[in-house]
Amino acid sequence: MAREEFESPDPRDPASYPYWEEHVVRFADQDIFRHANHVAIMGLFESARVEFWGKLGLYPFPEDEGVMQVRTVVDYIGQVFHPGTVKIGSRVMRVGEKSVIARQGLFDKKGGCCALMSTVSAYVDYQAARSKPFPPPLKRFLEDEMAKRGLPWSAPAV
Amino acid sequence: MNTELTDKSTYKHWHEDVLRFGDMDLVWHVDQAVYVTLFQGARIEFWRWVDYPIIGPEMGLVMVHFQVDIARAIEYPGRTRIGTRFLRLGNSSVRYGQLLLNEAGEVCATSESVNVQVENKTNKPVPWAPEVRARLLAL
Repeated sequence: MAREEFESPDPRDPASYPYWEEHVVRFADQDIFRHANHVAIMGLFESARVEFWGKLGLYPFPEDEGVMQVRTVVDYIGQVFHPGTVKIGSRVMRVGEKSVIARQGLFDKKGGCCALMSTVSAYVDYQAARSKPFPPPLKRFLEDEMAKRGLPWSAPAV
Repeated sequence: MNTELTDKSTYKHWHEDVLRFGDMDLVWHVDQAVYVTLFQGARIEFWRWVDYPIIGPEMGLVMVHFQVDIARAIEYPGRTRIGTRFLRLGNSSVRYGQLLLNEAGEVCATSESVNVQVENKTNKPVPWAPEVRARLLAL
């Protein structure tokens, strides 16, 4: 089955990401195929996304309202091996009235794209457990973030 | 806590890891089960530094004892550093001492653990070869 075409900018291009996190591939991330298991890769994306939210001021999550993940999509493109480190790029891909899509790419130390993730996070009133519209200033802030890209690509120093 | 293990100067090998959001538990600390994984990763890197194959086609190391003393909670985000060294070498076993520091260099935990070298097919202990034993003792 052919893979769906990717959007523009190409998420496999590291230069499309303005925010980066580095993580260590752990021995325990491996499965019987001696590569990092797909669940472990999702954990790496999760951590990098929380650190990305932190850079945008959305983490630590407030007690009353904030983002909560409602959809996850992952494309596995290349294998991730131990020992080693990976770099994960993150950016805001789309902003709706009540939700935001984060785009992430995981790259090996040579700059090869190993996996892509997009997550939809709803803006939620945590006590009521219901989604609600973004406060207008936050929505504008996230829309401004959508335009941000990375610097012209050079292999990240991992 | 074994104070013999908290002396940073006794470790030649250090391994750094990056904490993950998923390492935390409900009280915003790195969960105690994650310590096992962090110490494991450091031992694996220690053996790579020693340059001895611990997962071979014929034999490998299995864990038979593991203990952790926790001195301080580890907080996310951050990095950890773990020092690893041998405490004792048996006929076919090895006892490790390990020290886990947080990003500020504070002592968070120590660990003692024992691996036994076994034949993969039978799980029977395999003594260290004399030349390997000499090399390990010289570390």
